[in-house]
Amino acid sequence: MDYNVPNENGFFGEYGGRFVPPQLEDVMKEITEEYFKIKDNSDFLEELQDLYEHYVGRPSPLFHAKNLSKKYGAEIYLKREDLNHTGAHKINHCLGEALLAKKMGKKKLIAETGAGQHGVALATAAALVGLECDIYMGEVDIAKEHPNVIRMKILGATVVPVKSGLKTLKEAVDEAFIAYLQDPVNQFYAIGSVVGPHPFPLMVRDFQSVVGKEAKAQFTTMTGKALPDNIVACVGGGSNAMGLFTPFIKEKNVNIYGVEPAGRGFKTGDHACTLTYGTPGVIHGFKCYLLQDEEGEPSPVYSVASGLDYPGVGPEHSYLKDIGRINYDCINDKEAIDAFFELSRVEGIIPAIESAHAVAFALKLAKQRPGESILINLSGRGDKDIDFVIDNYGKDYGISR
Amino acid sequence: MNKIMTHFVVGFPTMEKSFAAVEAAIEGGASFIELQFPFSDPTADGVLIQDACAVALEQGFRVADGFDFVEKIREKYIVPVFVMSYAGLVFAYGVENFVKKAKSSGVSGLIVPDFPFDYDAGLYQACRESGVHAVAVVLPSIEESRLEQILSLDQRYIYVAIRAGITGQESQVSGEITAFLQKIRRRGKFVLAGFGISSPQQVAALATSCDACVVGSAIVKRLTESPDSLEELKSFVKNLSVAG
Ligand SMILES: Cc1ncc(COP(=O)(O)O)c(C=O)c1O
Repeated sequence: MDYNVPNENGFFGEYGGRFVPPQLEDVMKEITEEYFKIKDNSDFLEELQDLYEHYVGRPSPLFHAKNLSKKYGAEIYLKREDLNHTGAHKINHCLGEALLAKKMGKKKLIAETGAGQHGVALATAAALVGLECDIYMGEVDIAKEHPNVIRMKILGATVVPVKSGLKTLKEAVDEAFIAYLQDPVNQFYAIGSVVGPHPFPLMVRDFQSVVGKEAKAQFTTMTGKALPDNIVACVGGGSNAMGLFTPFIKEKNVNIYGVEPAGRGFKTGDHACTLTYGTPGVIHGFKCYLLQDEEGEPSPVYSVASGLDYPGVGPEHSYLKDIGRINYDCINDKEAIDAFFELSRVEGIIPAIESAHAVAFALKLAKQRPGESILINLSGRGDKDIDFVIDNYGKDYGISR
Repeated sequence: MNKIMTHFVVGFPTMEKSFAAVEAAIEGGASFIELQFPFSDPTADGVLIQDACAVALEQGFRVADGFDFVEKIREKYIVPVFVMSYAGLVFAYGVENFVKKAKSSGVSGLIVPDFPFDYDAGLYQACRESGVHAVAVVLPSIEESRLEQILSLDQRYIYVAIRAGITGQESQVSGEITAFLQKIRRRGKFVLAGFGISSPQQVAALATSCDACVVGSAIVKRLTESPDSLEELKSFVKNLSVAG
């Protein structure tokens, strides 16, 4: 299979690109040029390697979840991104972006965050490389993801509450963009997923692809088989998914599944199944599938997982959907919370609610494909979610504070 | 007389009031009307215009209303109307359809800052075909080679944002800026200078270097603070147009 995207203008088929006002044109070009300069530079790669190994704790383990496998009938493997320093896959691209920003002489990292995982990872990277850090976060998410808010503050970042609209991820991106426009020379907008204008979807994917590279090798070592039959990841913007999927895209015998959040139903405003129900549109400087009204206004979105409720999605996912290489499916709040408890109680691993969407889908898949192998990207740990889960769902599972 | 382009958000504070405000500006001597079709993600705008867009959208602004608004102005006045909006809105309408509809509604030109000529989703070509001006937005800090590319486009108008950042903060008119404007003008372009212009002094300082000054946030601010003071708006525009 021939697969070589994006093109030099940042297009994945018709998606992606760089639809930015002139205030950002020069700086986007500069970031692209600098990124291409360092991306294969041995000093840069060594530095990143070293941090991945000694700071993040990479490679993250691949774990054969034997209890789940036995219970559900397929061989289930977990790529343990939850064990990374800061508790999720986000640190992989944050370190890359922070090193790049530092090399470019920037003073401050800024970003949006939904669940707070990207914010924590960026605040961590900023502390490490010695940059200031402002994190934009919707007020709804600030209340829900309180532990992460505190972590960011302890790490020395400024958390800027976003009060507009639904006060969640989309609005946080809006605000971060506006702040960026004020001073693109001294600030670096380290976007939190494989979204935004070129080169971000490409750059974040490249940094995250360490997940898939490791997983591929680990799977072979562990099982003696060349490839897993199925791989699964949740899709918000799509960074953890691209990280796992990238080294497998050309392997046509591997079935690839991206899992979107079906929230509390399929009415507009109740879900964030962008690839399933969206149409091509432009948001935040790039083209992608978008949940929007006929006038191009992004629709309200919702998911129990703060890191998944974004009305757009990475341009590469949009392209992969169109060419039919990846299957995108949906998991609702209830299924995700069930999987959250299932993984906790059967394997002793508390997943992030985002990652629980991938687990829920994999458990369904296991029943349909007995005996096959299923490799899940366990993108983050659930520490951030425990208060929210016990308050809102505890009694359904017989527990209280 | 200085040429002034006055900028309005269609539907802010209401449809009727924005129309009355446009009329006041024309009576005050505005030479061009720039109409912003509100979008929820006004990427290059400051808080004032963002909030104005939010108000217009809450009241149910539709793109069709925007074009009706243009038609109504063009039925009454001979003033050229430029429509400004963002990529997401134009793309959803269909770029070609948007340009055609603009043409048939009497729009002279389109300003879509996040559709630069090299990431335009076909906007420039559609404009060429329909005979609508596509107005590139440039900053004085633009790279020389990129500026050359823009100057060699077969488009008459160029919008110079006289400083970086977003709309709504007061700008200083430096010698560097006037030199930049003159440079573009010497290339035969019609130069619209905007961003942070609110006073007769600024207009006077720019008057000989550009073809028209764009006044945006200052007008939106007036409509935010006193939406019914149309006489004051009229004399505000008049004072700008006679400044110098
Ligand atoms: C643990 C975890 N997984 C997944 C996501 C979703 O992001 P993406 O789709 O970019 O991987 C988030 C976002 O906050 C997250 O924290």
